[in-house]
Amino acid sequence: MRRLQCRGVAVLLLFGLLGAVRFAWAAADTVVVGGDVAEIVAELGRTEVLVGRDDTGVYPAEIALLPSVGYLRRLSAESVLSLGARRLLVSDAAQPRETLAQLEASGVEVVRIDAGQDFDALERKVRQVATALDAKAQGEGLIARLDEQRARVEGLAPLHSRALFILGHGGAPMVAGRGNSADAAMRLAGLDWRPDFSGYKRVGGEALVALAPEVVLISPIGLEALGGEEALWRMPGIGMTPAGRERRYIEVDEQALLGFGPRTPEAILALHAALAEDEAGR
Amino acid sequence: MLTLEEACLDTTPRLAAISDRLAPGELLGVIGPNGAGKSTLISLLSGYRAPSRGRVLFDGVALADHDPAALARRRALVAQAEAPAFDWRVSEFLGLGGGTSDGIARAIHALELEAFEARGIGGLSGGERQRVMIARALCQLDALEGDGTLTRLLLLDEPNSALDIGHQQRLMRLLQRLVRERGLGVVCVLHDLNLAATYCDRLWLLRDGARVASGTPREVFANGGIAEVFDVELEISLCDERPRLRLRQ
Amino acid sequence: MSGGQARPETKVLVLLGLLALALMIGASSGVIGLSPRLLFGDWPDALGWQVWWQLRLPRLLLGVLIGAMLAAGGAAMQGLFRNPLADPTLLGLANGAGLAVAALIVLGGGMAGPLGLYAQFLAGFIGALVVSALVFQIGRRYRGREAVVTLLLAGLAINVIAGAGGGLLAFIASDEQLRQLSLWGMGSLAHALWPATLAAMVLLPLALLGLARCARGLDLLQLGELTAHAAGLDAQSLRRRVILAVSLGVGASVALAGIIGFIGLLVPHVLRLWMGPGHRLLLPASMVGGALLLVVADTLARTMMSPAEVPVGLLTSLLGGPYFLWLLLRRRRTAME
Repeated sequence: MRRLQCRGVAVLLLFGLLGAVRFAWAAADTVVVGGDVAEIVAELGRTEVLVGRDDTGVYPAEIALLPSVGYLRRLSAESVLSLGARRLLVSDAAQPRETLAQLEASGVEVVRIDAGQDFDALERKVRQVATALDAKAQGEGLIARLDEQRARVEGLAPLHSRALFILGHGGAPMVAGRGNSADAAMRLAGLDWRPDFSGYKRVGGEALVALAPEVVLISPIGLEALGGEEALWRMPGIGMTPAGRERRYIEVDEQALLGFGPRTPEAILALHAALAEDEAGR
Repeated sequence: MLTLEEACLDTTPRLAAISDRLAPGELLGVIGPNGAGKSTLISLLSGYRAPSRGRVLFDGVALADHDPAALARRRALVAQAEAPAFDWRVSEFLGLGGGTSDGIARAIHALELEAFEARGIGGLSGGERQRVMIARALCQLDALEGDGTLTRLLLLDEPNSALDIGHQQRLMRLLQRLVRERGLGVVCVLHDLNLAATYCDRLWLLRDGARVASGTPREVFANGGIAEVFDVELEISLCDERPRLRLRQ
Repeated sequence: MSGGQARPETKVLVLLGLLALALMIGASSGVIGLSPRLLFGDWPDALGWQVWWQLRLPRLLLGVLIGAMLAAGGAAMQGLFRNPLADPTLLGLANGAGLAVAALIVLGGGMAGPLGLYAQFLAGFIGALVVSALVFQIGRRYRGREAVVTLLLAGLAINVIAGAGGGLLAFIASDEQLRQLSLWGMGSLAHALWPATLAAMVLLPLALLGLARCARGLDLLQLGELTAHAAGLDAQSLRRRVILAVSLGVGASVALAGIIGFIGLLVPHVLRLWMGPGHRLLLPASMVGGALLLVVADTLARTMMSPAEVPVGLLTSLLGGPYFLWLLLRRRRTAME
């Protein structure tokens, strides 16, 4: 409750601030949709053009303080228009398509940004955002930095852990299989093993035992959603897995790791380091 | 066996106070136009509705004060035809209110149900189903055995509404036999006035929730009241000491 | 309809045999293969034993209890309403219980441990009780075909209300609460651990026993209320007992495993065709049949797409939905004949 109030006060302050900023430059007219896209805007140092974000835009703090227009996959044209937006930087993962068409019809410039989940796509995202925001120089700088990190990621030694990625926020805990962003990030981190199904699925206790993960990857949000670390180890079956017996889990920043935004290479490197340490300690 | 002391119902439909006695071995017919309160009377006599004022006594004890299970072996009811929701086998259905397999066999014989015994009740015609309902009530009382030492009451609400003329006659004769040989008290709501006049020992004539006449068929049909109650033009003659009604052309 | 040749007791024995077979298959199949020899004392290694004892056995037991409860509850409700379509899910009992449990989770604050579990039982019980009382009040105003439609519409309305209430709760719920909400929403036995199963082993047999004792009363009620009264039935007390037992059982089932639909419709209906509508046989047979159906369905849910798991409520609805439609169509046809 108190957190909400704080947020409310902060948003109010920010409205005031934004009003001032808008008055000063008359350039704040953009709503950004997609956490990765928002992070790129922030990396390029152009948050001053933003008047709004969507629910997935939670990093960095200056983005999180912006008013939200709703969830990435449930966009409404009206909430975008109510912020006085004249431009929409929108991830291709956004839904529904009709909303984007409506916004275009209302005279909003809709800039679609690639939604791919690999380094090439990340580079394209940065270029597209930089072009749209007229920040090509900053964009090239960011790409150079990402390229350097990419080279380090690509040089990572393969790992052998059976690491199980558990997605915990909202809804029953789901386990990551193949063909999703967790799969992509884990492959880049050098992890080869994955449960043999696609997407994210509910997994029963016995199946968990059979998968026999050696370490659990879970985000702080996911852990909190489960009800804390104790609740994680109370999940049916997990106590009988190697990971459960030794209570091995690694906290990962889901947003950074799975978003394929500017923080992703770093997050992959961090995950690799944590896993390597875990393997060495076994 | 059944005594009404100023028993009345203030609920809707209402029923004005009645005081009377039904003796074992008596076949009482209840007649009256639609909406006169005949079915309401049956539910009062069976104890389903408690009288608003006055009392309904069975063997000197108010109906509500009897043990329900014990009373069920001495008082049974055949309600107006209502199709059961599920497809009971006839032989199974007959045992629903209790009754021995001998009693069930006797009831099957008495109501000529041998051909349907193994069939589902859902596949029967309206008249066939009505006979099954009557047979079931007889099983509950074991009405085809015993003499008058145990007072037993059978209440029937238009039991012959779907029966053909042959079955109507055989049903009335069966009821007479139950009354004479087994000492049952029978209360039967009837629409067919000739049937009522021919077979009943006594008649109650109802109108607008009140009993307007009671007595032997001759007494009830003697004055012109019956024609007025039903709002018809009637010719009443006598045949074997029983009144006989004919619609005037 | 013919009752078949076999004696009714033999039919129950056949069902029991099938249940035993299903339990054996269920006990020995799963992601981790355990052979049926296990049942004869040929213990597997420590891990296999642990999986069997900690995960598979409580789950099978819970499946038996909840399946029995849902089917017997359906049979009893159908007898009480004298309506073959009266099912705890269709009439909204399960959803009412679910909404009450959800309200407890979201509004009542997080209660962990056994206390929280029993609080959820209580909430489910109250939710189911309120809905059954409501539905009964609506249902008794009508008779015959009209009653069928009215009841189903009332159930539909209650399900819509419960759905909206659930949506509202999910909207204001925190993340952790959302996870708990989805637990009952999905309809699955995946959360069967010993504490929950033990609680079910206390509560559900109580409700089942209560229902079994209503069998004669439900039989009598089929004569119509007036005739049944003359045959010695206290309809009001019967109604109270059935509604209490069903609400207790369905409430607890929903609190434990979420909404698993159509078992209460499917099982009694099939069994009625096979062994007639008499409740003294139908109720126990439904218990066995319901247990059989849920154990089979849950075994499929565990193994069909392993290691991923299909919510068992999805499977029973997949089976029950078309059956329900077929029932409706068939009723329509017999009505026109």
